[in-house]
Amino acid sequence: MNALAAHGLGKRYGEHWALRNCSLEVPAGRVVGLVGPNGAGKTTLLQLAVGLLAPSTGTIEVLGLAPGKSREALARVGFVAQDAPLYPDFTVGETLTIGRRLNERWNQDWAERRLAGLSIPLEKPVGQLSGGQRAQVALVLALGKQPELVLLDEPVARLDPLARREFLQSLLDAAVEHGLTVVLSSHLISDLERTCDFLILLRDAEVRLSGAIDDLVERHRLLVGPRGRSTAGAGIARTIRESHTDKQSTLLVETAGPVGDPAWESHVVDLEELVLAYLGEPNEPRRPVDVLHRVEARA
Amino acid sequence: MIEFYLDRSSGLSPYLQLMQQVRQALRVGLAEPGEQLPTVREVVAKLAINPNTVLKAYRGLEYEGLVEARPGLGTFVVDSLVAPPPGTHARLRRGLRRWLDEAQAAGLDDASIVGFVSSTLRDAAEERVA
Amino acid sequence: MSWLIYRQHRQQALSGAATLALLALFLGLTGMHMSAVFHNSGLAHCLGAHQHGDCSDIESSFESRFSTLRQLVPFLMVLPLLLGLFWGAPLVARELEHDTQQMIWTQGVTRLRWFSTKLAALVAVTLALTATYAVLISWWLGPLDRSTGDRFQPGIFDQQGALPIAYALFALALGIAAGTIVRKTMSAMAATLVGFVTLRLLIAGVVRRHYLAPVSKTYVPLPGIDTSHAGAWVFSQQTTEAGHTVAPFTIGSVCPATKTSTTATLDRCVRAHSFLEHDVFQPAGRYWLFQGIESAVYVGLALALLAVTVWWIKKRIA
Repeated sequence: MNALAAHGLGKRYGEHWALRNCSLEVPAGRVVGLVGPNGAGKTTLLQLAVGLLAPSTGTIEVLGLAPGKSREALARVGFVAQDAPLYPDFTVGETLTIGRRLNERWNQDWAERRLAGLSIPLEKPVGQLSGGQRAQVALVLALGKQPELVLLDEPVARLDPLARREFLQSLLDAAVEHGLTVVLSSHLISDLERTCDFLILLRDAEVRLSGAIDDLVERHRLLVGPRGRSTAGAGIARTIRESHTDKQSTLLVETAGPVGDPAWESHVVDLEELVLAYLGEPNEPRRPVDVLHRVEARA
Repeated sequence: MIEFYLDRSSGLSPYLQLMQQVRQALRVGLAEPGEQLPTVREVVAKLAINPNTVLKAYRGLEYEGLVEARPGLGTFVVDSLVAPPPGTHARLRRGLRRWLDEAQAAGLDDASIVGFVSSTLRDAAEERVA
Repeated sequence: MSWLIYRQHRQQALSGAATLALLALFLGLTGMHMSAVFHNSGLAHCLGAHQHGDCSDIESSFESRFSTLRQLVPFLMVLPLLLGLFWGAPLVARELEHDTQQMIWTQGVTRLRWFSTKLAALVAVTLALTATYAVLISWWLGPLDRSTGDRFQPGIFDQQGALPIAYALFALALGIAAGTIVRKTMSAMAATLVGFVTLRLLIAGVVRRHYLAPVSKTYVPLPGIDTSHAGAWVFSQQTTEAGHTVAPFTIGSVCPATKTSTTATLDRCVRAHSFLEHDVFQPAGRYWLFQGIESAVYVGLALALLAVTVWWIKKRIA
């Protein structure tokens, strides 16, 4: 079963679409990077996935359930919102008690052990914690109910590099420990290849690219060849980005088959390059590229 | 026990780096047959990398016959990296020398040759996995 | 949820209880004193035995003795509003202001369950506090009400009986609705203040008199007939002499009650000049009926506001 599935999902505020034409299928067990510039729709998608927002069009399901509507959906999905909002006058221990009292399943031992391992004292008021510590507490609160899917909205955006690393360590360790599916949004690409194996790329409220990272990298190539050379034999399905000097052309392409023409040198595309290329695409309305679906269609 | 690290500038994808580090450890004797590799969870918790990366690396090493996954117990080294026999070294060196002469005659300088070798190694490694 | 409600709102609850305790202390002590004077001065006995008008001397001395306390009474009108401002407005607004609803609505309870549980607790505590207060203040005002006969007058009517409870529920619902829609505590408090004051003025000033058609009574103001309508809400009293409106004291000056006059002579005098009283009023007997109607109005408004709030939380937030 897919951890997350959306069909034609859209959210509108008056005339402005915060998200539209969103169709996705994320298999369970993945660590998903949700990437895009600020305002691209990442927060909107995540809030739709936890039921904090209701769709204007289309549908979304998490773990096969409608988000936020039932106790089951709430119990099986954890959420850490942007800036890890908590009650600042509650102590860390009291914050855990919120989790214990409001959730059917709750592992208090696991939560306490984890915080002890991070040297975060239970008696300290949340308002006195550092940003990194607050993010860790919010993560423990989200994971203590032992969900199957956890969604995080830019959890590390405002953290220093050390706090960022520690947070990701905690998150991925818990993911392995509990077999979680993780969806993590960020406007930074740098940690992407390291932590994620599935990518959703949003720009201007639409999904521009989505799929398993291995597949995406395999389906794209950087072609370098003489300027003016025909691309007919180069096995190109679609050119994503191109640049030219007077003598040379460089194309980042989606491949349709092997590169037959030896005049074109074919290089593996770095994930960061791929993401940047798709983020820089001209702003046209088009069907989002879902590499998985395209693979199935060809097979 | 091997301790993994990631080099952002190496150009190799993370799982290839892990595989390379295991092979290197075997080569210099830092890891020996019977020894357990760090668990997926340990590597993930230390490096904050995707669990599948570690799984892919360990599977790749298993395919090469260097390690073995034992369900419920972990992943263990089963083979040491045996250096190729001396004759192979000499033959490889001669072949390389011939290629170098050809490359230099074609106008490549030393830096270009090293760059050429690196990028070809990289492409070959990626393609081997794909 | 009960732990959460207590932990989040314990300061508010304690402040409310402390305020009530202080009020109770003050009202208790002063009320007992007033009650004692009411009986010891003979006013109680007088009012029990005679017409209202015959006790006017003792009444005025009683009322002037406690005039300071009486001046405090209008300030009590602010009490229900305080509940709306400090308990109602922040309830939902504070969560939305700080985005903590993103955390608390993704735990194991749906947002409607969260709201309804909090609301139930809040209403229960409000009812307990305001019911206690209503009983206390009605008891406290008892002697003054009987002395002045002003129980049904606007400003006094609002302070006692069931109305403090109804006003409090309304203020609470208004505060909660404002906070939910406006999403900022301060602005919601301002909106609650304006809304509460406007509606109270509107209903007390304009609407209340129309709950039932008032009684119009025209009669001959013979001596011995009570024209003061103690305990009623008098809209107007007009004295006419042979069809022309005259000042009320005219009867007293044209047909004075002197040492030598008898009831019969005064009687003849009044009839001879064709004095008539035209009174429009709500009789004292309708007091509780009016309390009930106005309570129903305010509780109805509160329910409507809560319905809007529930709809807003369900459909409109985020």
